[in-house]
Amino acid sequence: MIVRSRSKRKSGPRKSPPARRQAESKAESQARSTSKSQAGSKVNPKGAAALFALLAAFALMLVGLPGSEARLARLEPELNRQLASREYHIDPGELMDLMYNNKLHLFVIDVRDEVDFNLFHLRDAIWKPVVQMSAECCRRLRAEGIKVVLSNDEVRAEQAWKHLTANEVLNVYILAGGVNLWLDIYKDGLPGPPHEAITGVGDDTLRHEIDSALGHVPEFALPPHDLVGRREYPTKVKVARPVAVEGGGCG
Amino acid sequence: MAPLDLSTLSNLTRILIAVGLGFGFGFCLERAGFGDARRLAAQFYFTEMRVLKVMFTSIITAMLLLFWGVALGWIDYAALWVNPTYLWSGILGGFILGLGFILGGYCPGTSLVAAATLKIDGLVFVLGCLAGVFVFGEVVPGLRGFWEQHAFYGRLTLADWFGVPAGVAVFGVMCLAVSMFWGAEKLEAIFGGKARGGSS
Repeated sequence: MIVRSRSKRKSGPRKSPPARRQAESKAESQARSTSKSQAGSKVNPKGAAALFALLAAFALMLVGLPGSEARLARLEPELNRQLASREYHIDPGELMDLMYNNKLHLFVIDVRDEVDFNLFHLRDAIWKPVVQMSAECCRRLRAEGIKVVLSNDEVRAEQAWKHLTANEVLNVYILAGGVNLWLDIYKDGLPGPPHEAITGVGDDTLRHEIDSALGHVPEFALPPHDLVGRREYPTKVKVARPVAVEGGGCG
Repeated sequence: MAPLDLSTLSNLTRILIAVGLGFGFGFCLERAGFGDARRLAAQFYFTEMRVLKVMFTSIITAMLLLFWGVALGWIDYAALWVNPTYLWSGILGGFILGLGFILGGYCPGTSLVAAATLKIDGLVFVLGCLAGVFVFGEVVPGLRGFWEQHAFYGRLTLADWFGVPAGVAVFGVMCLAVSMFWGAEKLEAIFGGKARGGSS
């Protein structure tokens, strides 16, 4: 007869002896700490690259791009050289040709005082003194097209030209001799000096007597078409970017 | 001051520069795996987002280099060509391109990459592109009014559109890119994992 022990035994897996349990738990904890240290020493390259790019962009946001004053200060020597060479001073004859050229967008920007502007201004001229040339205004002027700034002589026009050019507006030119020379030629019928002889010297005051506010009404605000080509001048207007879009892209 | 005025170089030099840049671009595309139509088309099924990752990486790399160059005064931003925005023609053209991309598995550039490695589908796609270019050239006088008169915005950047400084726009694009990369990884895990499980 077999007598079995009646001591209570719990069901479940057989438990290993305490010494072996201790060794196993020690091995497990060592394995966990090893994997943790290995994971800590490995840098996720994607995360590092993303973090670096974000930091670079954030730093750029803080640094910012050069403002118009900083750009003007940086560009001023070159701008003054260009003004001295008069490569952006266009003849009144060339401006009139441009006014009749319907293949180009032309913006005539009058930077004189409002009083002078009301007395007389060219047909379709926009009154915009330099102090009103905000960043938003410059942004809108960056659209394709030729911009010609003018004043009574050239002083304010050259200031406006520098301001617009420093604010990344391209295709900006200056009316050589200003409104005074324009009126000499197209109001008084004078032949006007050859283009090379136009110096633009003057204090930017309107020399012509105009009794009332004529605006753009007089005929000499846009002289007759048969006067196109009457003056000889070197063509200076070059479109810095093509008017027609050329396609591009990575395909 | 960058950008360099290439018009001062001889024709031969400019051609050699163009060839070199083209070689480098094609090499990078091929090494990125863009000569394989299956990888390119997988973009549209979210199983592999390689195209988005590579292209967006190149965009943000160029963007950071460019704008840091401007910030440091090395680059004249005004002298850089920015494609003018023709909104509706861009939307329609993008739709047509996307349709051709998912049907054929290539875009024009990557089809040249595939053709360069003598893949037959790439060669056929290139021929199709040339045929399309020819047809477009023949009908373009009738279409010019569409893109010139509808939603032409000129040189328009994100900074101009949102009315924020360029640096803010750069940071915004960077945040968008990082979040899109994260989203792409998630999509790959969801859809790419299913596709791999279904095909095994």
